[in-house]
Amino acid sequence: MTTATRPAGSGAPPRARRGLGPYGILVLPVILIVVLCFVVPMLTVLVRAVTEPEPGLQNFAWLFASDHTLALIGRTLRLAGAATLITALIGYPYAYAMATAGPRVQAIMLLVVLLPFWTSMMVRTFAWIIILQNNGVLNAMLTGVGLPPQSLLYTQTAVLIGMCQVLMPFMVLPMVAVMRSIDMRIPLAAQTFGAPPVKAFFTVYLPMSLPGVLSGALIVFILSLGFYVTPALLGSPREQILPNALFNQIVDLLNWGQGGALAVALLVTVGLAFVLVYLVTRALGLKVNVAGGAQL
Amino acid sequence: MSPEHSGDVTGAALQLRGVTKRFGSFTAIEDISLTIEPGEFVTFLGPSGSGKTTTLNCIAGFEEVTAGEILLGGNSLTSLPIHKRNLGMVFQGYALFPHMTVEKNIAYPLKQRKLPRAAIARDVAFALETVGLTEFKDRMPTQLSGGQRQRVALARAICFGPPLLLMDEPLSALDKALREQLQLEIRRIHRELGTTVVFVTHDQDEALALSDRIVVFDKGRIVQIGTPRELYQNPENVFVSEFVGESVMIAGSYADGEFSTEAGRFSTAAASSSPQWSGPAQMMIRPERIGIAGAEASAPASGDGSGDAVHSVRGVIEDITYVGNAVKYRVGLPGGGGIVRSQDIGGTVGDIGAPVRLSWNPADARILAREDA
Amino acid sequence: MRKSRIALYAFCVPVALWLVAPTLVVIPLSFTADRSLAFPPREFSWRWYESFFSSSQWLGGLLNSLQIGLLVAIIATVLGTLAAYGLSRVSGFRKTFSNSLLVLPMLVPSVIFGVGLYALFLRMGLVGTLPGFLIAHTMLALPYVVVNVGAVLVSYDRQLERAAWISGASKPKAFLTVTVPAIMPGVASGFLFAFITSFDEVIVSMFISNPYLQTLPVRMYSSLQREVDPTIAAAASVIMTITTAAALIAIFARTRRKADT
Repeated sequence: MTTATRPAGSGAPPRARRGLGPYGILVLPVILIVVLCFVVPMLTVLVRAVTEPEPGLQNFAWLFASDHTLALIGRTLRLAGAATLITALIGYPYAYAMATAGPRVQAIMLLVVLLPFWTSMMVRTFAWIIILQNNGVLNAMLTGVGLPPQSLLYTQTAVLIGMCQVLMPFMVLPMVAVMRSIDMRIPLAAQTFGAPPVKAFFTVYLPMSLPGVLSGALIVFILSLGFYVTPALLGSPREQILPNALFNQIVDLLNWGQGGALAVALLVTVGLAFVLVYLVTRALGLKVNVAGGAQL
Repeated sequence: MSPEHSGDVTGAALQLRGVTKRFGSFTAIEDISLTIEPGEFVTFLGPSGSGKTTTLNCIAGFEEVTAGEILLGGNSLTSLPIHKRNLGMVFQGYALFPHMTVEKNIAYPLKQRKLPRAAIARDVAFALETVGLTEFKDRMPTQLSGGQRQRVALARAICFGPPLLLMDEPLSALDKALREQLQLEIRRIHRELGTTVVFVTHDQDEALALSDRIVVFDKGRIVQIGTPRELYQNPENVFVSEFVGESVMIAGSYADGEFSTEAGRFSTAAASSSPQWSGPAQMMIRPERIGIAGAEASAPASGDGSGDAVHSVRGVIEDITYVGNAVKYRVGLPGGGGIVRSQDIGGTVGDIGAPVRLSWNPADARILAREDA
Repeated sequence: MRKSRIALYAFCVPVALWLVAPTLVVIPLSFTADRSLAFPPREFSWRWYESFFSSSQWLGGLLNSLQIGLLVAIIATVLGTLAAYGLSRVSGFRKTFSNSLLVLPMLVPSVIFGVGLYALFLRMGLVGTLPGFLIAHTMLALPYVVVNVGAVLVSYDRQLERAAWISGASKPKAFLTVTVPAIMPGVASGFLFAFITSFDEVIVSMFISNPYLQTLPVRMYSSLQREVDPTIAAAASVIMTITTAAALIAIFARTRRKADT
């Protein structure tokens, strides 16, 4: 008996379209352009890795035989891991404060975390040079309060400070999304059952917010692997990472074969991280929006 | 059957011939055939998912029919693109263009028809006047109330004098008082313009109040077509009798002019229809045709309920609703139950749980085949 | 409860400073009278802005970046809007596949894209050309348009389009007169983000630029590697003004849209 008024919706079932359809035709040219102008150039790198200077796998043999390249890959992974850990540790309390704040504070905190992402990478990096250099802002402040000056520029620390600044939104936004969906009454309920607040946090709230931490961490890790400008300008030339080594091989040394092999190594690392994202999110039944940072 | 139109009939006849729509393996509507006369106001009534909206979408062209044909004024619509069908349509969520003023919204279909500026201004003014919104023409849709938005949507749909006006649950988002007011207005506009109207709703009261004829849909098929009175008084099956109006239903079986139930046997010789078939059946009586009295009151005629004069049966009051001019009793009966309506004349039949006796004129009972059996 | 909240904010304020404040040091520095980037500047002067706007390399870089940025924003907005619109109407594997492909340029390290493009462009003679830059930057900007327009299309009422069709508008006309105005906030923020993406891009641009066609960030990168000169601070302030303005407009376009719905 359906006499009650029904809200919107026609009750029509979801449509199963066959073929491209009129809307697919709008997407197709754009897909073709992306394949032609984005995917194809990257494939040529792969081709060059196995054809230059002569066809074969000698470039990959070099990649795995040389201590230098293995150290390079190890350093790249360590840097990405460190960036992920730091943004997670700083991002979690920030996200928690943001998720539990009023709408106004929340909007300001969102703007703050997004601002570095939308200010020019060159300007940001240049600013860190000014701040961290020996006669820079930081040391002026340190000596001003009677502390010894630090020599931070051209170190991994400087690279991490600069990298994490711009990676924060990718860590914070997924965390906030998950935290907002947590019913705050649950940790409170744990407290009423006798758990002290700290214990309630670690046994109830933290596990519930873990999916957000995880998806943020995986995105940050993937993005960290591709940083070029920050390590090149804030880091030490002796502590090169993959993207910079790749650039040197190709542009300075015109070594397309070995450069190509480095590119493949980088791509494979990113690809593996992606597979990890996919497997973990599927196992946890999560939905990770990798494009989240592009929105606002 | 349709009321007199004060204006000329400008509407066109609409014909559906065997219209079928499938989504993959799911059949949304199957073999829908019906003819709507020029100027007629026809309502598609049915629960959600019954196919009424899909049928409307096929007429509008939002869905391509899988099979069958749709004719408007004798010309096939089926292969015509949506924008060439020349139909007016009012949508459930108003679908006003949010970036245009009321005036621009109404002018939109006229502009698409490349009418001269003066003609557009004249038609917009006429449509605004028809819906009584002339002074709101410079407002944006967000500055209007729900009822006003619906009027703008209506004005936009009628301003170019379409031969057929489609309305997809246009009033479902409005509160009851506003809905009834707009129902009156829609009827008035229909009378004035004489256009053919197809109105989709799941609200039986709305369908009864508005329509010349009602098409009842269930599970993708038409289950009955008729005037509101026909549907109410002579439903052809249990679905229609339950969907249109309230009733008392008693389950039993029927054979040879006699309906047998736990509560007794009832001759149907005097009933409005005495079917030829036999088998599991429901007896249906409309609430206002039933008398209700305390159980101790003597049965009006024959005590066992099998007499020809008046049928009666004992039951128990399960619920009482006071509706102003009447009291509605929900009465449980052996093998059934339903709603009985009694004029509120001060006295009371009894409280919840009190035994009562229902009685009715055998001519008011209808025997319907039981579908679940 | 109250106390822990204060502790939380005591942690967040320095974090916020770390996120926002450092970039601002370039502004006072761009007005220094000194030849060095020592902080704090001792005297106020416009000389580095004069140096910036009188240098054909700096000014040329700025004009190149503005021109490329605007053209890329236009191309990416048209392509991205069509793609996002089409994607909002398809589902299943095709949608997942297309969506993934379209956001790919955001996630793949741009060095790899840059290397590949460099190899192709060398062969096709596109290094240091406007079309070369347009192709490269459009690929990088496209995801931002797709994501932003896609986000508005989620809440776009499909009935509006149906209302336009039944009113007699053909599908392309309905798209232009009804859909585009309705999704305008998303299109506008997509446009601005596409502009910023192009205007800011360094890595791929370094591969495909040559002395004849350089963008401002590339010019800045190479001068940071060579002489250190406060003109860079002036350039940084110019870039910051332009990108911050564009980003703020985009963000406000979005929040205003959210407030509307």
